[in-house]
Amino acid sequence: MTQEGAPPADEALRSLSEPALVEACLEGRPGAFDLIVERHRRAVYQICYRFVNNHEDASDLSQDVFLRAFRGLKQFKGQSALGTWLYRISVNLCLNRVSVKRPISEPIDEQQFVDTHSETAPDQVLRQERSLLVREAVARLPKKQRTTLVLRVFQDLSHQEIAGMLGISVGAVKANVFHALQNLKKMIGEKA
Amino acid sequence: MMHLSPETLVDLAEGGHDASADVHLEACARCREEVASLRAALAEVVAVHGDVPEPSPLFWDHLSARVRAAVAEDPPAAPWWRASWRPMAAGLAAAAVLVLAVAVLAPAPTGPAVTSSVEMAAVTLPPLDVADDASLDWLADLASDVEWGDALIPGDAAAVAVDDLNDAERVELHRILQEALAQPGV
Repeated sequence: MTQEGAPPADEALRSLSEPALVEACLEGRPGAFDLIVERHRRAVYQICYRFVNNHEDASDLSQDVFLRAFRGLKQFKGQSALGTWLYRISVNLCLNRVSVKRPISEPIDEQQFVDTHSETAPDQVLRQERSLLVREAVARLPKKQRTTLVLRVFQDLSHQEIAGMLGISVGAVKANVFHALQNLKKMIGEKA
Repeated sequence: MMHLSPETLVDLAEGGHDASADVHLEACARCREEVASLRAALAEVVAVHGDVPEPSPLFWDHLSARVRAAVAEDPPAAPWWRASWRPMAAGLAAAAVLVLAVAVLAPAPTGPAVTSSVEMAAVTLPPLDVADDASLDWLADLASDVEWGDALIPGDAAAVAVDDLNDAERVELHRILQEALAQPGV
């Protein structure tokens, strides 16, 4: 699919390895950074969405993530995968953002859920309502608990990886998960 | 009875195994309930794992276009040396003014033999011909885009005081400095 306003990335760029693609970006090769965005935009958007729980903020954050990545591309040393590096930028930006602004949950009727054909209509509505309830509860968690839970459950990071990313101990990660789940139980139980 | 720690409870809720914890769970209903409760809450969260609503198909190209526009508008970063040399140049410029004031205004040495390196620099060096000194060109280049006001280190009373002196006062200051340097033991 041709990106609006940009020529399609040439085949030579598409065949480059990630380190070579980063190098091409640093050399100012046209289309190189566009290709990086194209490859990672969905993952970046999803992690942002999980933190802020609405499309508009997730979209703005995604743009900021890629702009931050563009500025810092010279510092990318290739010690981790580019996706992991973008991921860290996303988490850091989301952490800064959610500390300033409480996440807003979108109303259920504005969301486009994937249709599950096996469900009856009432079951689907119930599932969607429950999903919104859980996501709102996650959004209301204290920042550290929300961050740890999102990274552990939604991004499937290990406790060690989360500890390294947040600069805390593994024990603190597990404690955050524990308290997050306790709070979720309480909030979901109150609303249900 | 000591109960399982939050960390161990989380490990068990996430499907981990711990032989000593298993023994405790057999005897402790409270911890068994806690693990079950945590597992249920975790399952609720996992169930919404896939529920990032899919945006419009047009969104992705629009996002790429916005990023492209933002990147195009992003001003290039200043060279590293400009960020770090600006304050250095300001300090160097201020120091150079003081050194030049002493060196250029210094009369020919007439006093007793000097013993300090400062005295030697002030008395034995010939008057500077600024037009011939390449290092001053370099310094002038560095300081060329530094406002004099910026070159003064805030709170540097000595630099401010020197700046405020008229020519006669500067000559007098030089004389006083020379007398002080000529004191034995200085």
